[in-house]
Order: sequence, then structure tokens, then C-alpha cells
Amino acid sequence: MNEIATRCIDIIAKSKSIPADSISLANTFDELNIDSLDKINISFEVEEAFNIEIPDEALSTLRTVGDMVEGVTKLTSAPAPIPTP
Amino acid sequence: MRIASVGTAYPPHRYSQSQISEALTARWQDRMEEPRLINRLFVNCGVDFRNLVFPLDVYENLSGFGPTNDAWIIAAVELGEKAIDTALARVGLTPADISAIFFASVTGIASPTIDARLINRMPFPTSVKRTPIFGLGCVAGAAGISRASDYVRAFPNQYALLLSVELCSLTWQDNDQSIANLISCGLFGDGAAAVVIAGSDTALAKRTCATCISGPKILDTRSTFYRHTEHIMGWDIGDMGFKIVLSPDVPKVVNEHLRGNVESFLTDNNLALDDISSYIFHSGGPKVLEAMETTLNLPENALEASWRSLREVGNLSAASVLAVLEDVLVNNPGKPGTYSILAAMGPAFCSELVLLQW
Repeated sequence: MNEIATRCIDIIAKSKSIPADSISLANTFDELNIDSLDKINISFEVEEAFNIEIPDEALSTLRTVGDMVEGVTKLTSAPAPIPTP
Repeated sequence: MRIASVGTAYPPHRYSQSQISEALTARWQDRMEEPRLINRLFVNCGVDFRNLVFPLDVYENLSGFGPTNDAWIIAAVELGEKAIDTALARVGLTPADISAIFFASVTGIASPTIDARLINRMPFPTSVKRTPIFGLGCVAGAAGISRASDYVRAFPNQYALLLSVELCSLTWQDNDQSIANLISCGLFGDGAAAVVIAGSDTALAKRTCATCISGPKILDTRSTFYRHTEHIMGWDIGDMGFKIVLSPDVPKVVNEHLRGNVESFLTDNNLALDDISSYIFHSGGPKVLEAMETTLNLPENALEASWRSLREVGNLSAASVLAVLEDVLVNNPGKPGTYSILAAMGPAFCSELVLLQW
């Protein structure tokens, strides 16, 4: 598991007070008893941890922990703007 | 007896969900540790647009229960009159034809009540019987139809009128940035709806013509009270007016009770869920509608009219199920002989079911 996945799972584990090793990328948020409000709280933690901004509309499309890791990976690897001459 | 007509009215100030979100974020950002929470909650409400009784920049000038409730009275009378005019005009009635008025709202209070003020503006008979209903909240649209149908069952040659006016935007609370209040501010909208219920011996109930839109018969109604669930939904009423009580357990209550209520109600009418061809359900919110779909195992798109109403105008509390009823009646009425269930749930907690036949 890569560093982004590990850090995302740690944030979820802390937020829900459950052991990190009980969470897998395949887990749905429903399985982890994470409701839409929990998801919003976790999103703020993730934004701070990775210094990213998650689009508000994106949260409702995330179904699994893997979806969240994939989204964070995309946001953290977005190319820097090409400087204009 | 029959639902003869439905009319709705909405205030003129229409905003997208993002415009309302931006306005409230600007207004409350100094009161919140994380103001982005507002939009993050709002995008999950299933609401795209709402009509508000005032332009967005007016709300910050409304302060205190008294001035806000005064504004509610003026606006409720104006909007209520429009909804009544629409409902009556659709079937060629006038206020003089109405024998009883049931008025339901939970977003403001008045004495004399709004229905009394409307009798002074519109030519209702002075013998009209008035039943103002406060406190039933979202269930009052369905419960109002039930109580009005009880009335015309006793007086089958008369017409009863149900009016609901809900101006939820006048309950926004500056000093409450709780999750419940933020969700409430993202979910609830403003609107009014009026329903004409015709006793079985009236001309409208007996009317048959190929081109008229004929509303459904009311076959039966069922109220169900869920003991010891007062904490689920309601108001805490204080110096600043109505402060929302909204538990995240509402969908759970739906899951626990609705199917049993519906099956028992249908069994008593010698029917089953498979006999129901359409569902006219209160647009409570995404979680509530999803719980209704799941627990009743409804076919895909069965609640499309409720979802559409939620997207277009938000949750109108008591008026919502009546707005959905208008949509179905005007745009997608049932085939003759088919059955529908009209349903809403609300504070107590409780449910109201109405069995209709087209």
C-alpha cells in the first residue's frame, strides 16, 4: 500500500476510532459506518494533510476508501501550471 | 369523495443552491471554524433551486422572532391567496363554494390565523368552518388531506379546502451553526399549496367527462404515531424563533416503520404493494427518499416526481407532498381504476398514508 493510501486510512481510522488495520481499500464507506457527515469531516482532515482542495461535489461520488485514495492521488499529482514566457 | 384540484404558488425570488450557499457562507463565515462546511452540506441536499420569500440580501436585516413572524404573516396571506386562486380556478369553483378550510403551517404563527385573514380578502362564506393546524410539520400535507376527507365524509354535499403555506427561509438562525441548522438551511424552501376535496355528492365528485382532469378518489387514510420519538424532529422555540431539531436517525425511523405501516394499511383495504401503481411521497430529502425506496423495494423512478420537486423547489415541509400531488395530477395522472399511495412523515414522529384510486 502506498503512502497516500496509508495516510488516508490513518485519517479514517482516527476519525471513526477504529483500528487502521481493519480498513482496506475495498471497504465501502457504508461498511465502515461512515455517513455523509463523517465523510465531510474526513475530507477536511485529508485536505489539510495533503494540502489539497477537494471539490465539494466530488464527495458524494466517493463510495469506497479506494475511491478516496484515487481522488487524492489525482489531486496531489496534478501537474503544476506551465509558466508562460 | 375525491381530490378535485391542487394549486401551488411560489415566491418570486428564485435562486440556485450555489447562490444560497454563497450568501449564507458570506453571512456566517466569521461565526464558523470551517465555513466551507456550508457548501459541502448543501451539495448533498438533492436541491438545485429554491424560491425564497425575500431577496437573499434582505434576510440579514430580519432580526428577532417578532419582525420575522410579522413578515411571515404578510407573505403567507399573499402566497396562500395565489395558491387558493389557482386550485379553485382549475375546477371552476370560487371561495363561496367552500364549506371548510384546513390551514397547515409550521413556519410561523398568527392569531387570527392565516385562513381568517384570507376570509377577509376572499369571498368565502362567513359560515365557513376553520381548522388551523400548527406543529404537524412535514406530515401536515398528507394529514391535512386526511382531516379534510374526514370532514366531507360527514358532509358529502360540501367542498373542503386544504391550504398549506410554508416559508422555511424565515426560520434561518444566525446564532445556530449546528449541522442540523445548516442542513435545514440547505434543504427547506418556501411555497404554498391548496387542495380542493369534494364530498361524494358534489357535482365535481360525480363529474365524468373524457377531457377533464379527474382527481383520484380518497378511499382510506391511516395515521400512525411512533411513541417516544419526540427527539427526532421539531422545533426548539426561543427568543429568536424556531430552531430546528433534526436527528440523523430520520432515515432509520423510515426503515423501521414505513413498510409495516403501508402493508398493514393495504391489507386492511384488501390490497398489497403490487397493486399500487404510483407513489406520491413527501420530498423529505435524499436520505429519506432513498430509505422509502429501499424499505418498500420500489421500482426505479417510482419516486421521480418527489425527487424532481426536491431538486426544483426544495423540501416545502407540509406543502411538499401537495406539490408532488399537483405534478402527478396535471402531468401524469393514473389510469382509471389504478391505485396510488400519498404519504408523508413528520414530527412526533409519525406517518400519514392516504389511499387513492384514479
